[in-house]
Amino acid sequence: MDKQSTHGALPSQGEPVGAAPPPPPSGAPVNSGFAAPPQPSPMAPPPPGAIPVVQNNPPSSPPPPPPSGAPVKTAAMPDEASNSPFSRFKPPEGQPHIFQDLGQKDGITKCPSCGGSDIALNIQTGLLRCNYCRHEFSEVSDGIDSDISRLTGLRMGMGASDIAYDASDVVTLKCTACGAEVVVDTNNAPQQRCHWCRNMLSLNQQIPNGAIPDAVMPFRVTKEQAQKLIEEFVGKRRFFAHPTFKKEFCTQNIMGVYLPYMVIDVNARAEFRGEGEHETRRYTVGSGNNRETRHDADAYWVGRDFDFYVDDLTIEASGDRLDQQTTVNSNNVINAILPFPLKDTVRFNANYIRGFTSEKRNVNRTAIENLVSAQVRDIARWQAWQNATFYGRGIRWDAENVTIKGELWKTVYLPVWLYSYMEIKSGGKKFLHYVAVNACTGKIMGSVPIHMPKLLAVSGVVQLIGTVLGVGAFLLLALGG
Amino acid sequence: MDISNLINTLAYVASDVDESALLPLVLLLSGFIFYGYMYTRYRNADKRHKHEMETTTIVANLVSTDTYFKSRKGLKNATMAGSNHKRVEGALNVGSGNKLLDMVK
Repeated sequence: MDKQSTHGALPSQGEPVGAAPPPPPSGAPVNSGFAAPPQPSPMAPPPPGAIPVVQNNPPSSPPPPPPSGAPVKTAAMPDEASNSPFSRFKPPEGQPHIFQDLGQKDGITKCPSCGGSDIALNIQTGLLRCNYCRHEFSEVSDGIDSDISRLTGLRMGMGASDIAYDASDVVTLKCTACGAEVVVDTNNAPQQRCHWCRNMLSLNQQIPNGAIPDAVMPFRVTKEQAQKLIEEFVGKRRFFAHPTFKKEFCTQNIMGVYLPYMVIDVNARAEFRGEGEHETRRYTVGSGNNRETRHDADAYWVGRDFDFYVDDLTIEASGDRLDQQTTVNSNNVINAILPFPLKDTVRFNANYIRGFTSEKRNVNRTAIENLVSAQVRDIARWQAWQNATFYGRGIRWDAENVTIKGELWKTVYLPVWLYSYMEIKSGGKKFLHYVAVNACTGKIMGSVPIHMPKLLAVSGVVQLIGTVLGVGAFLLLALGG
Repeated sequence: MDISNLINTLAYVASDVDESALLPLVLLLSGFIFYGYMYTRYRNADKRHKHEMETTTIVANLVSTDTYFKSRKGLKNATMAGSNHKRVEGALNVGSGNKLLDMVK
């Protein structure tokens, strides 16, 4: 399934050139830093007033017809281990390939050493620890990733499949130790202790309500470390902080939260056409007060065609967190603590999130696919620039064509330490400030409520002094000229 | 308030201003610059995950074309007019953020 988004007009190979660039004059500077081009598709500037078009093409090669009846397990891909616990189902036509972890089981997760079921994360080591025998162990890798350069079509982890909004949040598990039926409310946690035998029962398999992701990243930063980071961050912003906030600020109530994210691998191709300028000379003209800097530049037709493989593009999978309008919330600071070292994620095991709160995913792939396409184009544009820095004055891309050949989506719980403060503004308007810590890397970002009268007063004083000095400097210049 | 936009605007204005007049201009705007800097430092409304450069990406099969066609003399601006090589569409908190939120179905 190829998905194409095009900005501007991009001529295909062999298409007549609308405005062929003139041959370089003799003695013209030679291109530096670039391989001699094998003259790919000719470049044509777009027609004047061309409107950028975003176009999503239908699949160019539909998947094979579906088998009758239920989905059938197909042969594993060559790059998948033959003993992989994952199955790949051949989907109905137009549907994505879904990977399901057949090795994952609901119910009692037992300590491999003593068989106990009272297991929780040890943040110091990032491992699961049995609370009876203190044995520590880890879940296996989530195992969904494969060679991105060979990705085709749409593939998804089971945890990224569409949410059934009518699916119940309450799931009943049968205790495998005593046979009792135990109700698990996934709105609270995917775990519940059996009320008869006290074994801990876990939901580890994906269910249609979006509560169970494909993978999880364990906390590594302890609460004490996060508190210290937050105190340092706020401590550097105390002078103009709101006095009520300063009085109430306390890091004891920070929360360890697992937030849901979509993580996407993309195999794509990009083609860029445009015009770039390389500065050849910078000089000053005029004299005295009329001095001005001028620039000479060479203009080039520029083209960059390349394949690119995006690894672990990360997007919020919660509607609340996707809303990042900074006039009404501070969710952007949670976005700013990305990225996470996603190679260290493990297969979801409810014991990892025990003792922490978690937010349930409520966003489907279709809701954010346009956002993902936009971000993939941004990545392509950045990579094109990284390979064209010769044009220090800039490049104006007149035509951009990014084609997504294959994509793999999965859902991951990522760990965040959150400090939140609700500011009540005049008129009763509320604004929720966050200070967020990436609980893997320790990266921190936050929003601190400002005491506006104080900031305006000090800015006014700065302006007054600046005005006096600025007028004086202008007078000196005038007299000196 | 987006401080990066403010800085870009100032840089653009400054690139067209007599260099000797730059310091007085900055002094005359010092109160606004101070306010913008402090507001951004406390609120961090301009901060975001820079997905375009922070996402691991491998480029392969690169084909480059660079064809000289013209020299331009005496340009006043330090940057190319209309350059868009660093344009970002997929940021939810700046620029086209509202438009992207509309895209979210």
